Amino acid sequence: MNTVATTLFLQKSQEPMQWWNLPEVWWIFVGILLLLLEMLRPRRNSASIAKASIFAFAVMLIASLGWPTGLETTFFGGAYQWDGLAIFFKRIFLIAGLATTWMMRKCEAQGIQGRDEFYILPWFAVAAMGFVSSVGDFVTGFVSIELLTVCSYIMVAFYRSDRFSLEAGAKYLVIGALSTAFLVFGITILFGTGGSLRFDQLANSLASGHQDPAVTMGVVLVLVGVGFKLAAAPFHWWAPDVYHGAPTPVSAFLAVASKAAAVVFLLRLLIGPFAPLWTQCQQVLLALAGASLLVGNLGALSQRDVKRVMGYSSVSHAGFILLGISAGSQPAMLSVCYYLLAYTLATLLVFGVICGMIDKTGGSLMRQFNGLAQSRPGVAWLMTIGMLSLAGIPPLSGFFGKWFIFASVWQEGMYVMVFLAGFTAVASLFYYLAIVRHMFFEKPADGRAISSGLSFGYQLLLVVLAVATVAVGLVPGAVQRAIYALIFNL
Amino acid sequence: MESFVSSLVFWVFATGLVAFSVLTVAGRSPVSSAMSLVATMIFVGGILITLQAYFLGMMQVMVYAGAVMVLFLFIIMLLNLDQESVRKKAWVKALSGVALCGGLFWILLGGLGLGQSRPLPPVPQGSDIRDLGRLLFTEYLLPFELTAVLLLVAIVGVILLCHQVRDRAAKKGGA
Repeated sequence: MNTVATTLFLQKSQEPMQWWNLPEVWWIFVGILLLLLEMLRPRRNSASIAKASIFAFAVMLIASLGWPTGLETTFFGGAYQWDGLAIFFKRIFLIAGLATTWMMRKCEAQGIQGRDEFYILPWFAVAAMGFVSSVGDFVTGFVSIELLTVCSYIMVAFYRSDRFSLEAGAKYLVIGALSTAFLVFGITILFGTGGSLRFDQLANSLASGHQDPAVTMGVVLVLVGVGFKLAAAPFHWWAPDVYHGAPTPVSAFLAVASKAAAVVFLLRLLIGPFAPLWTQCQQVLLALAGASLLVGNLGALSQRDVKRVMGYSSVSHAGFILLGISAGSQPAMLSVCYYLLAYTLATLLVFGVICGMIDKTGGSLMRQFNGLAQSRPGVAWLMTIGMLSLAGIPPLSGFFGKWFIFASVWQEGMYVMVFLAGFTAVASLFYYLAIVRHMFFEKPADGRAISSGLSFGYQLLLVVLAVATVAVGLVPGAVQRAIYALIFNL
Repeated sequence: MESFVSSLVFWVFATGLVAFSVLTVAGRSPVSSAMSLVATMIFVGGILITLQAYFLGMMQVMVYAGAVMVLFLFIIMLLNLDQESVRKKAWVKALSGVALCGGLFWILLGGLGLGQSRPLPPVPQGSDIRDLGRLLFTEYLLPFELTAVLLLVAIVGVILLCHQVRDRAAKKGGA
């Protein structure tokens, strides 16, 4: 009972953690509990399960403040690592899960048809990502990523009567299978050459045999697999289509949580088994970063649909994150974490506004947002905050995210990449501001103002996200120090 | 002599494997594609058995060639798929596919150093089922348990995406 209290309330216990005290175990438990509740409920009423799911996410997020920090342990014989990096990413996943479920509740009218599993699947996905953030061997990593991907397939295709949702689901399924094939092939080769699947043992054996061309190939194949999950160019082709076709909350979930999971898996690989092969990895990462920056930012310029723009935007942000990772220093890792936090908040905000407005505007085309500032000025301003943060306009958190990454890359002497990233960041202003222009300066096509409003709870979610976006940018130093203390156990 | 026999067995299985994989992709009728896939599975099982992984080999044949492929054939039968509708001969696609496969093979040849011998990781001796079980419940306990969750989610997903909600229930829920 004492440990239950430790998990649920804000107490830091000195006693060692147990496996049944791990957050993911609780998250899966909540998921199964909600499935049982759905089965036992008296009548088909989506509200109860959705509310229970949102409430449980909020409870778990508060409980996450009580997690023991400054403690590095492993569970399951090294398959699960508990440390600051894992805690940071698990909190990001919880934020994403909470916001996504909230948006799903908003979207319920569009095609759920009483299938309440829509609100339950995020639990399993979040638990899978939690395991990814703590991964200590390739088998656990592979199974967790598969669990995450299977949840995503189902959520993407959830509006099964909608042609675009089904198409996105099929496309994501095929691409997901392809990327899994790359990942497994790479893991197999590494297992064959390194003789182990555990990250620490593999790091030792790869350190001695890193001249082997087979090792390089295994590493490259694994990085390609991760690149698909990260939506980094040239493995990004699915992202705009899937983000466009999927239910809007699910697009948000893919853009934020799924990408963060890929980032943490990549970080785990780079500080674990791939550490002896850093120079080779760095080249691959730099190539992926450059391609993503160019393709993401230039590809978004010609898009006319906000969700497709966000798809390309997510590719370009993958580029920025990869650029930060490829700098390879300790400050670079901090700046990547900060960037990811800023990106998470702003992206959730933008998708939240799209999700709230899509049934009122009738779609996510840019011109359908025309004149939003006259009819719903508050919502338009929230969207503007999100867009400006993603574009990297100074007082907002997105600017400092980019700034920190540029600084750490500059310190490593990769000046060309900084110029490339700066150029593409300027180019990105055009498409982010295009949406703002449509909202503020264009007349609505049919002269019809968007009248009906959003519920108080949903406004609260959007405002909290916007305030967080601004606040993280107002005190960037403090936030970075907090992340530093968390990750490096001070 | 023994090594000659084992390499002969390997090459027979490997050739069959490649040939039937190609047939799986190139076959016109879905049934012949599925049957080629069965043959592919059986050859993979054979190769596993020559590697002394008897249990895995048998599982490969029983689960994939036996259970999964029967399911495939049932589905093909239920969907009443006939010959694939006339397929345009897309030479560019075919050529690029062949080029891609050739490139991958070339990388494999160089990367893995085909032809040069490479020490395999140590294979545990003795009863492999017992070792497998022990590994699953010690070193790989976490992924093994996670597989259960994965299967649960997959079952939920299949029901969600395929089960037709009855009209009356839908009307009740929609209200």
